[in-house]
Amino acid sequence: MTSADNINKTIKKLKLKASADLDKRVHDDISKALVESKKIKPAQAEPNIWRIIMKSRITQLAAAAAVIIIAALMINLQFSTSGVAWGTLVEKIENVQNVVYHLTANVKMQGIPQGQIPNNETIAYYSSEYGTRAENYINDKLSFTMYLNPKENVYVSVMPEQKKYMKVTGKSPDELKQIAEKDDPRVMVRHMMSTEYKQLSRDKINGIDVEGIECTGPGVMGGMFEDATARLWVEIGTDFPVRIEIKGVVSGGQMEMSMVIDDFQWNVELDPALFVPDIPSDYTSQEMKTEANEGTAINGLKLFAELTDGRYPSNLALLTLMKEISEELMKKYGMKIIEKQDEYTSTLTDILQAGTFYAQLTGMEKEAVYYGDTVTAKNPEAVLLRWKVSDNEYRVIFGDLSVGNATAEELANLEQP
Amino acid sequence: MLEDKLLIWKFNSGRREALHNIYEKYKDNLVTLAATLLTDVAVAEDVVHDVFIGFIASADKFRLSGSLKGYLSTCVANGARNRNKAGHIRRHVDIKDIDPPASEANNPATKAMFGEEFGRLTWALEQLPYEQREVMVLRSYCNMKFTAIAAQQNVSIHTAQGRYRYAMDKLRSLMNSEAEK
Repeated sequence: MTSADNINKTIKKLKLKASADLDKRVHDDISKALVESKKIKPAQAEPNIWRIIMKSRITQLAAAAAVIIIAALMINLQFSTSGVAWGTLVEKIENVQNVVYHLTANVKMQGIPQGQIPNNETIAYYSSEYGTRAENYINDKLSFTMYLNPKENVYVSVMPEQKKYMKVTGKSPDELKQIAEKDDPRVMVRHMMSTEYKQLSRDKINGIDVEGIECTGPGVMGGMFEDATARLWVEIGTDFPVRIEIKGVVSGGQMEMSMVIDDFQWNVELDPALFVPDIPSDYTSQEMKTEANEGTAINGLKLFAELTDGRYPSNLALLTLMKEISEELMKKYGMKIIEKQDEYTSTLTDILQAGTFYAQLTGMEKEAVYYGDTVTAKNPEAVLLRWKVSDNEYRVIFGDLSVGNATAEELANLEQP
Repeated sequence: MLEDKLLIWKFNSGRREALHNIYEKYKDNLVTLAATLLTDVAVAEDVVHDVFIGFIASADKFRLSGSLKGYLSTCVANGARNRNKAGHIRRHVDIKDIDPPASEANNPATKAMFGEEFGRLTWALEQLPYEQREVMVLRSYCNMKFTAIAAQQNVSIHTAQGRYRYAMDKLRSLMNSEAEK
């Protein structure tokens, strides 16, 4: 006898494939409409980037590294501050309660053909009341959803692919608020407005009349790049930002990272349910490694030195660091990195903590200076990295990775060639 | 496959190229849905094509929200119902007048559509009044809630649930009687 349950199950299994004729008809119509609308570029057959990457497995590590570097940069998105302010815009933005935006991040690396590094996009929802929700997509697939609500003491990332979640505990509401501000576009705008900038000529973005400003220099992104340019475009009339562009280079342009923040929806109504972490019951917890500190930085430097027989990264700018780690891993392990990709990606993440920590220090204007281009593990007394901890005191990591404090005078002696 | 939320975001942000991805993601489901409702693959594909033409034409006028799959399934079901009403599809026959095939092999139309494994089911579905078949397919294939189905058919939820029960009873009866042959 056929049961209702069987009938339901069989109906669910029904499967037809659309014919090639239908495919052609629909795609042709869409492409035609796109061309006619002239609002976007004519559709092109998109290469399956992920498949290309899988075929060319040698690029996997670099691709994974690019994803990590983008994540690290987003965590540490900071601008240095000084000088002028553009008062009215800042005031207007400060009064915004809710905002949604779209962020695209791309890395170009010499030696890796364009298109082989995954696309990275984030949709972020920011609410003064409920906190932040950020959905990160890699090659259009949801990589993680991050929830951060300082008032409720919530800071959690949910990763559907791995069926895992990472929860940060032990942070005060103020600390969480500071972390949340890094994703707050109002804070980004405020910082850009108070940085030395030049005004750009009027332009149009997606048919909108805009005026822009541009900030340049290594300090723009808190020392993460050798050089960086950030542009802010504001709609004439509404005075709301419509686009932020950030481009940073390292190694004399061998690596380049660009970020575009656009599709802003200012003062949009947001459902509070968006900000409540949705963790399925079968997901397991994973350790969170986003918090860089002195200890994780030393561990990162130690791991790098182990790879290179005592040499440290020449520079802690994140992109340069990532490039050097990738090169060293390839040099040391060759094709083995393909077999043990997870292990080496983990090493890379750990080493990058040194760069993340350095970026944090630079962003906080702690007078951080790094001497990895000249100091190795064979120079135990030499200053490898130092930063200011109080008016007349510096924290120092030495060539043997021991740590200590020094006054400004003592530091001057230590740093003498 | 692309995540729906990103597709919706891209679509709502004016990136109409997302339509290509939306079509690729759901085309097989939508053709299956339409073919099950209309029992004709060629007409089913026309319905899906029409849905996307409508989608393209109205792309600038509305914003997507909620479930992408649900929205498209509703569009296809509406299109299929219109086709059915317009008489493109042969009218259903009363169950008592049905002369079931001696075996699945004698039912080339449904076998050609879904293969032998599903021949008996699709033949039985074909015998249902259109409204009952629609409730059955939307509920079982699309996992649609009775409230949504009722709204779509412009009937009360009790009517929708009743149609589902009648449809299920008839399907069981038809499939069991055919299996005994």
